[in-house]
Amino acid sequence: MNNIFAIMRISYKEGLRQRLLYGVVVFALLLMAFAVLMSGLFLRDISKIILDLCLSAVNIGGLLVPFFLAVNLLAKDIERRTIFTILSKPISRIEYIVGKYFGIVLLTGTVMLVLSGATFVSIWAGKIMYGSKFFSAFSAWAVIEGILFSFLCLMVLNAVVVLWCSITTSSFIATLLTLFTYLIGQTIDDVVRFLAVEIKLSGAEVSSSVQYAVKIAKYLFPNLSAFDIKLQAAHGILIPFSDAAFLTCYGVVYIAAILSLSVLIFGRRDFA
Amino acid sequence: MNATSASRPGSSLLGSSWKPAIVLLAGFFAFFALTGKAYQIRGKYVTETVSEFGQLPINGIQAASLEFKGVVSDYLFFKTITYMGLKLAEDEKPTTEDWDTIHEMLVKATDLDPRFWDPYVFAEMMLVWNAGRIDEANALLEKAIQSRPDDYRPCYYIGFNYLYFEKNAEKAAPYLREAAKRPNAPTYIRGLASRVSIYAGELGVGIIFLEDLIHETQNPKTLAYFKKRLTAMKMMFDLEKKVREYKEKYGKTPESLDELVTTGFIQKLPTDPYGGKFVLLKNGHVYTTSKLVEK
Repeated sequence: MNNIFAIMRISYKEGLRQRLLYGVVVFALLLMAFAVLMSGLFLRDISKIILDLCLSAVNIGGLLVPFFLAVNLLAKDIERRTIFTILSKPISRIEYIVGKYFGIVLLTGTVMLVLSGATFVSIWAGKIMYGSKFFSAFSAWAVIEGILFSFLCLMVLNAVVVLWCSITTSSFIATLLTLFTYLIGQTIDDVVRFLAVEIKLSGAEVSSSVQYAVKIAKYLFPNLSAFDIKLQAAHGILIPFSDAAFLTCYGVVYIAAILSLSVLIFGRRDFA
Repeated sequence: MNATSASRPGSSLLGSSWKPAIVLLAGFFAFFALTGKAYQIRGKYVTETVSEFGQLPINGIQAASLEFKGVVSDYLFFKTITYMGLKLAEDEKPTTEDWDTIHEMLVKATDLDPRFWDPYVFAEMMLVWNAGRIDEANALLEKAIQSRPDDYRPCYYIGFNYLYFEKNAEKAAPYLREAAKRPNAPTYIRGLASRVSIYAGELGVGIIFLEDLIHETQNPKTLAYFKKRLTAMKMMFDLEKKVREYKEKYGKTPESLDELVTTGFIQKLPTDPYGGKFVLLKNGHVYTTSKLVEK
């Protein structure tokens, strides 16, 4: 357990050393100015516009970690062979993987926390600039819920990064595979629904091989769009507790499965 | 490398860096001079499209916007209002195709985020009040009735459109009743709902409705737009009132509005802010040749 914490702390610090937070703070400041000024160009749903922009920015900020930082932190260890020094210490490969994963998750959380702060500042500034009557639909709890589910989505994606990095030696390929997983995860839901409607309307004109492929993808890839409740959050609507609980379980189970698979693969890997 | 570092200690403040400084300065001025031109060139083409992205079929847009449907919806709607704003700023009358595009964009923006209220308001403001496309706006607002079950305004707007523009009390009544039932509905809606047939097509109803819109609007341009319309409608409302007073006094409606001036009911005829002329109809209602539309 201590080893996991140590690895987690090291990867977290290494991530911060990339001047990550400076960039994020600058990004947050720009975001606040942009969101508040931009929303004034709309008619009434000002709080919704600010939240749309800010919650998306929180999400994009979080996405930067799995896409750019995480791959660096993981694959570079192998590419630069620093992994030999780490694994020659009394640290098991399981501890290494799990520690790295939580280090990345912590980094994602830090970035999202800073940007979430900016979100609430933007709302406050918007209220001052345009009057609180345009913010009657705003609900802090709904916003927090939306951000938490964005975070869960990114935790899933981070687990996927760990998996890809434990399979391939190239950081470029790992990034590419992560990107594909993200795109599939965000669109698989639409594709499944679209196919269902198509089959209902036109009989069975969709070829069975396509149907099988979609079915396999459905159970292989995470449905990342399910975690996207930013629209509800922007409108100040909380999703029912049971839905939230099921979604959380879905995410946690998937993360556990992916991490176990990564450990299995990583444990058998020969670094020589 | 060696040459520059060798010359550095002996050089003055400008020293060897004056060449890049001049290039930088010249470049800055050239950029400054060319910026206006770049905007001008862009301005030539900008009027032609709303957004290339908006032309995609809705399935494509939905898939391409990933988890950012809210922002994409905002973007599509923003493109629509700037497009409309450009037309208004250039004093151009939107063509049928323009209205088709605007309607399509509003449908797509609300497909992405059905709870987004601005596009519905815009449909009510522009499609109904400017283009007279009441059926299209009502169809959009029906979507809002479903997606905003806690909001009285979509029902109220549809009811109002039937009542004021189509003078169809029968169609308006169920919507106004539904609006009155929803939370936060102003009490006058109940009054409207209970006596719909009296209010069909009345200017007073339009004035209340517009005042409601103005009260909630934040955008200064739209606000000015509505205030102008409200001024004109209030002028017509006052004229109609004077006509009724005239009728009470003389037992008949005046031949024309000028008669109100000659008999001293009003000092002079007000001027229509839209540049039209107020005309008295046989039924005692006042009409304007501008039809309350920008020329």
